[in-house]
Amino acid sequence: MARYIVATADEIPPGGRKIVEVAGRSIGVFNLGGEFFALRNRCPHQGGPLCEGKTFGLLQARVPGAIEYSRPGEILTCAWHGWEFDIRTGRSWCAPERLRVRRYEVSVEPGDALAAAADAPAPGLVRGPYQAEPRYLVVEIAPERGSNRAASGATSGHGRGGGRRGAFRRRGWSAAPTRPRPTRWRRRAYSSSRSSYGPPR
Amino acid sequence: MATTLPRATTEAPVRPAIIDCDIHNELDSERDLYPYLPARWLDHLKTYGTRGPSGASYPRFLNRRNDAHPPSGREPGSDPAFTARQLLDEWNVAYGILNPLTGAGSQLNPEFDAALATAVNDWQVAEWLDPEPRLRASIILPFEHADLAVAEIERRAGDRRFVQVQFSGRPREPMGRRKYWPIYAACEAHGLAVMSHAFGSGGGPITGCGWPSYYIEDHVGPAQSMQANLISLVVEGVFERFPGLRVVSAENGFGWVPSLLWRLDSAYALLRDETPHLARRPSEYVREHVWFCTQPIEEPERPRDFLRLVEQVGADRLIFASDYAHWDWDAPDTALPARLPDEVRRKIFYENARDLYRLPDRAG
Repeated sequence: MARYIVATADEIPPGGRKIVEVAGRSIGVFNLGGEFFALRNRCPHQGGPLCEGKTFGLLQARVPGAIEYSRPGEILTCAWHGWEFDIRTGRSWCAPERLRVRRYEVSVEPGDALAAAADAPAPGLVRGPYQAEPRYLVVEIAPERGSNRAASGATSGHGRGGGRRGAFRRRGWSAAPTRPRPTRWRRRAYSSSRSSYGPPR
Repeated sequence: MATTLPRATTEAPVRPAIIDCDIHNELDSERDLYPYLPARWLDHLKTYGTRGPSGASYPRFLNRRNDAHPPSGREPGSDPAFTARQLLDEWNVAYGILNPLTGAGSQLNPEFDAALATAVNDWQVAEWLDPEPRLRASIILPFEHADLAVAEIERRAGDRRFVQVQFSGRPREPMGRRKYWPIYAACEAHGLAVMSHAFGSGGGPITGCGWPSYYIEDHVGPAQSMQANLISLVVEGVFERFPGLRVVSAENGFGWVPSLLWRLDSAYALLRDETPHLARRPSEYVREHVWFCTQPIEEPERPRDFLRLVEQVGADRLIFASDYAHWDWDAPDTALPARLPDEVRRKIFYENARDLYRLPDRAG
């Protein structure tokens, strides 16, 4: 578990956000009424810059016409297609069970404590350019399992079959498996001569 | 096939070259066209403004990607250098086809519509095609007025960077109707394709049964209007009369194509004598003359359904389109919801469009 100092606490006002590069990842850090949340800046749908999208409240209607608007500013919509994600949980609103964006723990820590820790660093604490006075936001990044990320980072060309990330991969939508394996189209025998209309061949 | 690379060597590989068949070059404002309008029509624009059928499509449809704002401060899609960087460089686009959606083509004043179309085309040449050799463009036409449209085609036909003409998704009459035939004759003579781009309207609603309430109905609606246009093109005998004509459908989906053609072929067997000018089954004309842009891609829940769909439509009928910089664009490497064989991907992302638009090969 590596810890990274990404901002001072007063740098991101309530309702604000900051996009940071940490450990080779782009991450969005959000302030919801004084609470901080961090999400991976990559939409699990098509890979868009999720954290650069607009935020809205939650719009619901238990019955048609009875519109409820709640939790203003807590729903993030992807900058590309508008997929909605709950900033607090990282879950997709439309497909919460299968589609979520990776979230990271954020803590607010006083600078003097960090300075003390820097003298005797806790495991993984990254020394940052900080001072004693302000409070800092610290994001915790777990090492990623296996080499999935490394592989996906190297396979973005369409000749590899393209690839959706995150939950799509886990559900078998993947086009860039980490190990060579038979792909769906092979097992299902894609055939270009199977069109059921058009001139006889 | 899939290889797992050690982390230390994860440099981004060179992406395979693609052809993007639907890129939107936008105006920052109508002022961009001022230098290209003759004084008479510039005065008209400033004095009378533009006027087409109103309320035909939701403004939401023109929303742009949030991350596509150029540093110049211009509107997304309106800065050629930024489009080159964010789209063409990023995705190794060998050719990109421009489709401006400006209001030219839908003006109710015919002469002004023609002048506006000419201005848009001159703007495309000067500000997009001349500086950027990877770009090609659609000719914008006053397509409701065939004589004026043909004059614009003749004006552009010598410039091979124009690869097609653009129709809106809902012309005032279905696309196969006789009033448009002079346009098709000119396109066939000059080797230009005809693109029907979704949205835009001559005044009709997006459904066949009146005006809907919500934007989502507009968003999925073009499948309906394109079906009407496609049926019309086939049964009016356009492809019999203009055997060299190529038609491209953009942003209209393609999941509906197989079932429509099944129905058309069945109906043709029953009703052939009504349209004796058709020498072949309707599906045969479509398989030879019509291509479908992929965006916005069909996203069935089960990947195998997507594979079946591509089989049914025919992998040679599909051409990749990103729709940059509109909000519902498709990213080339993540858009397809299932893995296709490499040779099929190559067709969809490159070869089909290269052959359709007769572009010199740049894949190497």
